[in-house]
Amino acid sequence: MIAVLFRRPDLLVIAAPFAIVTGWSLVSRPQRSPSVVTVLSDPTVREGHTTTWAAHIEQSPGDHPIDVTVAAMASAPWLEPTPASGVATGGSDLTIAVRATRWGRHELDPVTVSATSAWGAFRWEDRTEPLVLSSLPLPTVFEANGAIRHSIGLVGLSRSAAPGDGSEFAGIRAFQAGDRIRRINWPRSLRAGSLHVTATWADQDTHIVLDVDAFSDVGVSAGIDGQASSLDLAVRAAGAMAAHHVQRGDRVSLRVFGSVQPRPVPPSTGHHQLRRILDALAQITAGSAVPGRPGRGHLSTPGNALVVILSPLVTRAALERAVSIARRGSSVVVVDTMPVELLQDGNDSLESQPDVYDVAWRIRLLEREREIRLAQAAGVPVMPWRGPGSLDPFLHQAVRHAAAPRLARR
Amino acid sequence: MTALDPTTRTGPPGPVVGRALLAALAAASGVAACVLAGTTRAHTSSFTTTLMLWSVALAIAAAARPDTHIALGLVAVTVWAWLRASADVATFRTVVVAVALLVFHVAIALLASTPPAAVPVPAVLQRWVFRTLWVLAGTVMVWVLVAALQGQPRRASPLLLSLAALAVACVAMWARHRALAAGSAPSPLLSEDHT
Repeated sequence: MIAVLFRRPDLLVIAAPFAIVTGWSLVSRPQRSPSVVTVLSDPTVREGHTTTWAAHIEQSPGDHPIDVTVAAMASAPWLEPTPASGVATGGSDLTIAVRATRWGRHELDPVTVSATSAWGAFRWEDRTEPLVLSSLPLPTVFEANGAIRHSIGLVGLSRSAAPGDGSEFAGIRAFQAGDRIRRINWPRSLRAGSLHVTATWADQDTHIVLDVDAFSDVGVSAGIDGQASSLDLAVRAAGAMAAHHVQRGDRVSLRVFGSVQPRPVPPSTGHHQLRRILDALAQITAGSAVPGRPGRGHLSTPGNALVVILSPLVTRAALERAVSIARRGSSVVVVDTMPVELLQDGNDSLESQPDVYDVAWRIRLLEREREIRLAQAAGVPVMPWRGPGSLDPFLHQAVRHAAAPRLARR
Repeated sequence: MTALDPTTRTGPPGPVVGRALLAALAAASGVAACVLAGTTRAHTSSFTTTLMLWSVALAIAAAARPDTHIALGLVAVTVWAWLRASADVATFRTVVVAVALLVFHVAIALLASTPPAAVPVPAVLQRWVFRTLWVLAGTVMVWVLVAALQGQPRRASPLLLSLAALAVACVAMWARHRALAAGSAPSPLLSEDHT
């Protein structure tokens, strides 16, 4: 128009690129707003492992394709997105690797996804729904060489004194109602003229009760790659012990006191039980339960179970619980999960604090030592967590005491 | 796909043009367009110097902040300099100025489309280069048409003016329809930007 009015057709040449770009932009504009679909490739991972956050931008059929897509993920505690700043791509698919650096249930904040049409003319932006990533604790290595006090059960590696369903050969006897067909000993049955079955000894198991003290989380946690707090040690140790005993065919149950979640995991065995226990451990939130209340973890303990209490022993709750269980006649051991560096003089975590905190902590450590001595005097062994073989001294002692008569308050 | 943070890039291997290079291209093409537009006829050195300083300042500012309207200022200054300095429409310099402005505009639009930490991937760059070449071809065709019409006698033509006005009005209505009422359910998230 200006070119015609002012008789300057050269302005048409100058304006031609802008006119073409504008027309192109308008023609290639998406007709409808796209939608974004996000998914975590694996919503449950072990700590230290990586999952993938993926987004796909869906467009209406026949719409012009998106030119540039950008996604930026906000930083969240215990989650490491890679690349940290997000991704930009020329298509409609975006992926960001997310690494969980600590156990627990982590929430991925909404991710801002934006897409632009050709020439960057039109921009669409949306925030995705938050997703939850469950990071299971990575159990440390645990081995126990000592034999565990036996209880009555029908699964396990050790032979029972009672006949039952197992793998250890006991003899051949006449068929009775209720015997399984696969137990029929056909050669013997043909010779005898009547059905005979192969009898076996029942396999024994042990019931392990894992009690995790979640009233407090002492120390600095740097995730799977760094320093471990007391709750880190307790959770990973509980996972390690559960994995060890589940592999042996023992029944394992879990109770957590000091945390609103999780619910107690009833005793069972097998890999599914291990997964249930790890899932439950991942739900622990330190100090979420009101101190002084029994909570969900306060349940009666079978007399033939081995109770393992994992606690930093900062409060007296764990030791009181252990003494109470021991007085009922159950085998109980307390595993001290206090980080070693916190027991040493001049630990790093208190360097930035005033001297009064240092003094208070020293006093609390002295009280703690006295409480441990009292608990040991009451027959409750307290062992520091040192990884594989931590429970061996207790187990050897427990086997010796198992045969001896014991006094129990009912 | 590429990381927004160049230090943690996980994109495919290959030649990746850095964002700084793109910004330098934008600044250089902007300065070139402005200076070429203002120096087509002999002028005082003060005008050229002032124009040069303004164009450099605006080009650098536009490259540094591509998501602002500074680039529009440089385009306006270039057009003003062209109108003030040149009356020869047949020269090929018109096309050169138009191409320089196009490169400046495309580079700024590409910079504004991606976050500051992003490095455009080769596929996106390739797509934009091809589009630019198409626009370049269209610009040359317009120049050829204008150069062909230049030999015709210049007379006041109410009919031509009316047709031009009608064409501009139609294009404006179509653009408005596409920009604001496209599709059955326009989203408030869709916004016009940068063009």
